[in-house]
Amino acid sequence: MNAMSAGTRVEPRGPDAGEFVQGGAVIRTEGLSKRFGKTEALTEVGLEVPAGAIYALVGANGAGKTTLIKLLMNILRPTAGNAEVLGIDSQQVRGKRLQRIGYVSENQEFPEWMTVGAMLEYLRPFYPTWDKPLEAQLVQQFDLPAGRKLKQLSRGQRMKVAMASALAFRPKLLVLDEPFAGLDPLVRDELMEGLLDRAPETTIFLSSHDLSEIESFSSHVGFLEQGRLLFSEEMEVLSDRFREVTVTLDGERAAPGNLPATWLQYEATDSLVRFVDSASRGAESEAEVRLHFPEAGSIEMEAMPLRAIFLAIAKEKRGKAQESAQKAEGSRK
Amino acid sequence: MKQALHIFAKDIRHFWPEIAISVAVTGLFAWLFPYTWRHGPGTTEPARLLYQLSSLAIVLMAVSWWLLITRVIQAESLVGDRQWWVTKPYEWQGLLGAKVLFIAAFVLGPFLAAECVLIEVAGFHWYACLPGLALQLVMLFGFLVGPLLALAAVTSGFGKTTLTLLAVLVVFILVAALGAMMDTGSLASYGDNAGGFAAFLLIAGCGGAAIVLQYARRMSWLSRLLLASVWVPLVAAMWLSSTPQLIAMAYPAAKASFHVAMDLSPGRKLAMDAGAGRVTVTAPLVVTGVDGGTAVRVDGVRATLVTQTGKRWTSRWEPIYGQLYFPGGVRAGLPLQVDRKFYESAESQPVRADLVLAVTKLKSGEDRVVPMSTGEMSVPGVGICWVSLEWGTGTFRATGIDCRTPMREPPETYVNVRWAEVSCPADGRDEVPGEGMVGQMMGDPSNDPVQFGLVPIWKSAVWLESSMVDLADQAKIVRHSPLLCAGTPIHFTQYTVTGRLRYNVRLENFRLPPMQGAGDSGMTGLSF
Repeated sequence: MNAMSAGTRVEPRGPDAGEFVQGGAVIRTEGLSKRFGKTEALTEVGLEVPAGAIYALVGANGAGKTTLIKLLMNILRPTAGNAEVLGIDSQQVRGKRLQRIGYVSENQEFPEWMTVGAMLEYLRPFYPTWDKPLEAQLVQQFDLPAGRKLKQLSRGQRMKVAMASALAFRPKLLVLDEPFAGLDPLVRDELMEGLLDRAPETTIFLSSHDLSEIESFSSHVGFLEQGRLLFSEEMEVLSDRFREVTVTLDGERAAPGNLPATWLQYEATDSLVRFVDSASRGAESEAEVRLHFPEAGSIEMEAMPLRAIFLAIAKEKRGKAQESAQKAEGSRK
Repeated sequence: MKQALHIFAKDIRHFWPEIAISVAVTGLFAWLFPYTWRHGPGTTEPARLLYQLSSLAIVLMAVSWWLLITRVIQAESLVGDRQWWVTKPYEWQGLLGAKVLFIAAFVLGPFLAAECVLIEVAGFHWYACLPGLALQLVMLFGFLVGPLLALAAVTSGFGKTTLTLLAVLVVFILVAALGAMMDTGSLASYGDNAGGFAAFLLIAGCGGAAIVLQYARRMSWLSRLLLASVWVPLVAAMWLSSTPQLIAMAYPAAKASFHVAMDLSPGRKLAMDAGAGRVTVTAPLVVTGVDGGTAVRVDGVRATLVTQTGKRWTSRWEPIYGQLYFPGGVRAGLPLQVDRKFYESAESQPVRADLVLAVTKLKSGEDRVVPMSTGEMSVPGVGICWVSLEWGTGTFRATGIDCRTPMREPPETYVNVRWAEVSCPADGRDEVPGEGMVGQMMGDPSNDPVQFGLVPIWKSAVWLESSMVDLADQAKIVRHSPLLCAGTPIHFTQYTVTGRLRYNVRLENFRLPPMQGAGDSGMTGLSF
């Protein structure tokens, strides 16, 4: 049986284990589910985050992003399935094993009574890899007021402190839960800059409900909707895979039957057909379009922005879900 | 350990105001507590006020501990999913170690220091009490500090901890009320602290397991369940301990060398005192045949009364206090609690009583003789004693002897002294002509080096009276406000438990004294 099979627990392999196990995946989940009472917050999520990736987990508010992150960080326990973080079962992620993982969340409760300087000083002995010059550099870069108490800081400043404390020990994995939510553009840029400076040595896993803020720098993306992971893949592959196809028809045409399942959001008028090809393969795909539309005049296949890809997928999934719900309702009657 | 010290240092920086308050309150307790033995007739008004405040200081000290423990535990709250520290490399052993170290340093440490000071101030030496001090700290941790720590660990904020604590108190009151409603009687002294030890193991065990589980895995609901489960065996034990079967097991039927009988000789008769639902009947008894060097103590009684018409009523086990019988023949009055309705129906009829006495047999120890002093007297094996006084007939009269002892009450002690009627003889006389005066110090029957409490010094009192005198002197059995003279020898005799038994007494054919009206005391000739 595979070590990641549902119901099995992966034993820890020591603090340095796991970085190169499981095909280099820093995070790997399989069938990961979480239920709060009757509410299914996360349903059978399976994803892999390769080493060195900047993985953006996107989804609307309430999609289950924070729940997934809390499961990875062992703040919550899964109802079913399992997860590995740096090669360690997520339920073993505690104590010394957190010396290689940085975590920043928008809704963390900080020790408000501490000053910025005292907090960084307090954290220092917890991490053998704490880099004091880097700490000083981050304090300067984020313009942090060392003598001010955390309770006196603005939201943006607190996020910067959290980020500085998570970066100063050069973590192997940085987990960020909505790190930019509600921040003004200047602070957001400063944080991103700080983050990207450290990106080469760290795998970053972050969640966001704003596609535009992660599109520019993410290498991988996963999309959660209502607790289900709709897809998870490399950004480049995703961009290459999706094409907005516009077919101009010369004259009348018969409605084609058996359209490929990878064609989403299919719309047609008498002279124009438009759809999203979610499995575009360049010339091969064009030939396939011509096969379905022999009367096609011109075929345009345009690359799509991330936002459009997400909308296409989300609408398709919702449509299918409604369809199956209606079918189920009909069969009950 | 390094991490524990690091967190400990952070907590000191954060909680120094709370630490200062707690230490100051503990200091206040150490300053005020000696007034519990310094006050008395003739003491000044401020001293009396300070004595009254000393009880308040103990309460304040406990409250300051609760505040300090809750705050320090919840600085790294274990409940919830938003805490900053849970994603930092805290080792649970280090975190728990830091919290325990903090409690040891700022709750147990100052308390221990205050206890040592109080022991010295009370006239004893702290180093002689080390085993007791150590055991008391263990008990304090198991019964109070540990449960507070556990409660703070399974709740998410100070408010919630406070509400939970109040809920625990409400449950405690409800359980006690339920126990009172279901009361089938109980005897206080038969358990020999076995119940207390079992309760300690249970509370400390469940509390400790909940704490470790919560720190190691942050499984709040399981930890809460574990803490809540303490109630089940505690309530069961409380209920079981009062069952007649268990009392019968603790006091097995055995042959007794002594003899107890009704004494209706001239001048002695039954007395009654009518209460709302009960009537207390005091049965005059005579106890003979107690072996030399021993004594017999009645811990409880269960009475069955049967009228001539066959009507029957059986009491529950009722605890009895102050009934200690010595060799040579002793007259005593045994109080029986009788249901008022039965009493009214059986009043003035011939009645038979079958009494079952729960008896503890005692063996006397060394007789320690200390000359009476107007100041304090050091009594080996007891502590430091002084004569307690009461203002009457234009002068202070002795009412008894008060003693203070470190860590626990002294063992059960019998005190015997002679008093002067009018005035003390000239100096140099060893003894005064007068009557024998006896008193019983209800001490702690166990041999434990410490009794559980928040105080290091225990005060015990002997009420001296002449109620139990030799049968030959029965004409002179009257109460006195005695005059104790300096130099008069006071005899302190300590007793140890040698066994327990049930003793059956049948009181044949007597009449219950008539009641004189509802709510009336109805005393009808209590003559001893």
